[in-house]
Order: sequence, then C-alpha cells, then structure tokens
Amino acid sequence: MSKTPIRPRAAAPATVLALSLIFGMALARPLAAVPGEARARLEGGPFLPYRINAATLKDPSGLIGEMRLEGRSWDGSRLPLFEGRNAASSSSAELHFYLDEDIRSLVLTAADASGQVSIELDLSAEENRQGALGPAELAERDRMRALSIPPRLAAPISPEGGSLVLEASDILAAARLASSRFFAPQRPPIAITVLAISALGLALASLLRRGGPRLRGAGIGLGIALALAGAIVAAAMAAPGPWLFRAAFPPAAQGSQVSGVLERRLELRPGYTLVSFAPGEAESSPAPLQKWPALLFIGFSTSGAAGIPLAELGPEGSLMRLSPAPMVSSRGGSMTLRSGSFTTGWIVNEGD
Amino acid sequence: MKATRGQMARALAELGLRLLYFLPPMAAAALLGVVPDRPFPLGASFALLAAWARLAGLAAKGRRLEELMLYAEALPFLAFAASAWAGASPALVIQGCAEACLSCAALLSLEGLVTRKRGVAETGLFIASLAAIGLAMEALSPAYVLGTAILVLVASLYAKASRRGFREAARPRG
Repeated sequence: MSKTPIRPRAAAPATVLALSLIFGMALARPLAAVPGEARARLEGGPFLPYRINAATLKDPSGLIGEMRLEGRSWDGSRLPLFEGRNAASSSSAELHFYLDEDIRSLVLTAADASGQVSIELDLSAEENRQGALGPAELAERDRMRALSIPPRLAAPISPEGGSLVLEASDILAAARLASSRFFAPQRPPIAITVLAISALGLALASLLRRGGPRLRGAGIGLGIALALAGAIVAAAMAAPGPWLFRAAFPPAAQGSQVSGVLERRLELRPGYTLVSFAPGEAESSPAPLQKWPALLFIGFSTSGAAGIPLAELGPEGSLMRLSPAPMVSSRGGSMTLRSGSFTTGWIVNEGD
Repeated sequence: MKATRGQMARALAELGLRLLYFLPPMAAAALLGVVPDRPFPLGASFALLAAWARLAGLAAKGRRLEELMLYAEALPFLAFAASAWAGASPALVIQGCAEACLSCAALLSLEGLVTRKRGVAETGLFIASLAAIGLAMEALSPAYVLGTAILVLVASLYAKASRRGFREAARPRG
C-alpha cells in the first residue's frame, strides 16, 4: 500500500481561501448592521424621570426577534429597562420603560431584516438640548427626590399577617414598617408537603434496598423514580409567582404624621397575588378612599417569566420612584413588570 | 422471632437515620417560608446539599450504593431551591439540575478513580471541589459546565474500564 506524500505547497491556497472566508464572514456581520442603524429610529419623548415612559421604535425594513432597552447609570452600571419580542416582521414596536435620575443614557438593541440595530440616546444631552425645565417639572422632581425609599435589608422571616397599625409616625417610617414587617411574599405550603412526602418515600425505599437482590433492584428503581418525581413536583409547586403589595396611607394625614389602622386584604388575581393595606370602613368615613389613592407605597417580587401587569402600578401618567429599577416586559401584546429582586417604591397619583 | 425483632429494630434505626438525613434541608425549606428578596444562588444550594450528602455518606460505612443514593435523594431539595430561592423558570430548573447531577457524577467518578478512602483530607478536598463547581455554575455558561462534566465523566469511566482491563490481563491464568 503506497501513501500519497503531503505537499506543503498544495495546502497554502486552501489555507488562504479558508482564512479569507473567515475574515469575510466576520466583516459581513458588522457591515450588515450599518444600513439598519441608519433606518431605525426611536420616536416619542421627552423621556422624563420618575415615570413610565412610552416610545415607538420604527424601522421600515421590518423588526424581527428580540428587542432590549438598557439604561446606563451615572456610575457606569447597566440596568435592563425593557425587553420584548417581535413574533412577525413589523415596521414599528411599542416600548414602555421606567426612568429615574440615576439613568444617564439609553441603549436599544433590536434586529431587522438587514441585521442588528443599535440606538444610543444620551438623556442628559437631550435634556440640555431641550432647554430649561419648567417649574412644574422641577417641583415634581423635588417632590419625588424627597420621597426616599426606606432600606429593606432582607425579607422578614415571619411576616405579620394582620392589620398595619400606624401610631403618629412620619410617612417614611410608616413605609419602612410596611416594607420590613408586612411586605413578604409567602411560599405555597404545598411545596413543603411535597418535600416531606418524597422524603418519607425515599426513606422507605432505602429500606427495600436492605432486602435480597430483587428487592434491592426495586429499591434502587423506586428511589430514583421518587427522587425525580419529587424534584419535578416540588419545583412546580415552589415557584412563588408574582406578589404585589400596596399600602395606601390615610389621605388626611399625608405629608405629616400618619395614624390609623390599615386593613390587610389578599386577592388572588389572574397571574399574581395582590395584598393591599388600606383604611377600613371606620377610617375612611371622613374621606372615602379613591380608586387610586394620591400616594401609595408599593412592593413587588416576580420570578421567572411571570410579571405584574403594568396597569396595576397606577393610572397612566403617575409619578413613581422605584428601587431597584424594574424591567418592563412585552409578551404577546401585554406589558408586565419584572424585577430580579424585591422592588419597593412610591406611586404619586395627581390625576384623580 | 428474636431475629425478626432484631431485623425490625435495625430497619427502624435505618429509617430514623435516613429521616435524620432529610431533616436539615427539610427544616431549611420549612422555616424559610418567605421568598427571599434577592435570589439565593443555585450553585450555593448545590454545594451545600452535596456537601451534606457527602458528610451523611460517611455514615454509610463503605456501602457505595447507599452513598450514591444520598446524592440522588437530595435532588427534590435542589429543585425546590432552584425554583423557590433562586427564582428560576422551569427550563432553568431543569438546566440547573442537569448541571448539578452531571457535575456530581463526574466528581464522584473521578474520586473513585483516584481513591476509595474517606478520610478528613479526602472529604475536605471533595467539599472544596463541590464549592468550585457551585461557583462555576454561577459564573460560567451552562454549556461549559455541562461540557466539562461530560468530558470528565466519560474520561474517568474510560480510565476505570481500562485499568480493570489491564488488571484482568495481568492476572495469572489457569
């Protein structure tokens, strides 16, 4: 059997061809993005802090796939503000996002038929370009800055389930009390029951393995099957789902000392649990509680892909200060709020 | 009759021991009834659970199968931690559990290749490796963790099989 000798010279053209192909493919992607960037534009604004802002991304070549909006804060950190998906090619897409004064610029990334689209918007430069802010806007920002968010180091281990009693405390102290003692999403107790049942089953299966070879084989099989089944059911039952907490402090006392009893009410709404604290019948008799109180202290937590409907935060145009900044997610036409960690904040409604 | 009673007593003792093994993760799941404000990393839950399984395995007194079953029995608690404490979606729970199972299998296989001793040094090194895997689960892409675990598992199983083959070949015939 004769072997064909390897000729180094014959390999050279193939190497050059392969390298030029790799280089060409690497170059083609950024070049493809350039026309898309020129066509796509973000409409809407002015984008103001302490509000849910709305914008429209327009792209005549058709938007496809994922769309993300990131905020860059003054310290350089990045915050996800919006994510959405365009199921089919469309020339425009709606975006909603929360802004506060910590966010300096916005970076939008999307994809259209010609490739990746990226738009950067410097909010501080935009504000300087538009000139001095009106006195009403300045007053609103001052008001929102004054509404500081009380720190919440961790979720209370055993949250209080009854009414929230306020005894002549200022509004920030009342918010701290609500957030650190009453705002705590509960895990469904059925998940713990599932774990207990699977632990007992697994312990009994371990006894089977002490018997003869047949029982031993059955014990191993049963043990593995119980472990897998327990894992699936426990994971499905343990997902806490989104929780929204709302505390409406007595209207007459806002801005000074608040006193009174806020009754706790728990409602299982489609897709999330709402826990509201509001003055009871006797408390609200002098001034009936509006549908949207003028000042709300809220807290919410979400997990996985589930979120809180955006409309549940307050009426359109409400002022809000939230920490950490939540992300708005658009799936199947509905806008929901999501956050990686527990979010607390103030909602100021001047419309009603 | 005496033998039956003895067997019953031993079986009950074994059952009690096994229930004791489930007690700490069960207590953690029951006592922390509140959803944490910030997600508790799944890598940390994995390292803690697997380390506990390893320590409990020391009581198995060399019964390798029982040692291995302890890791499998921790799986419901890991899935619970992924869902309730790490706030993972169902797809991420499956991915996290797959990473944990394969990494643990790879580490156990590698350990079986190197040593069969269960001393303080071996246990310490094993727990340190679990912590490193937990860290990798948090810091690296799942593809790297899964890929490395599969590579180590296959390589160590191959090495074990080869070593067994060499031993059998070296054994005097007849």
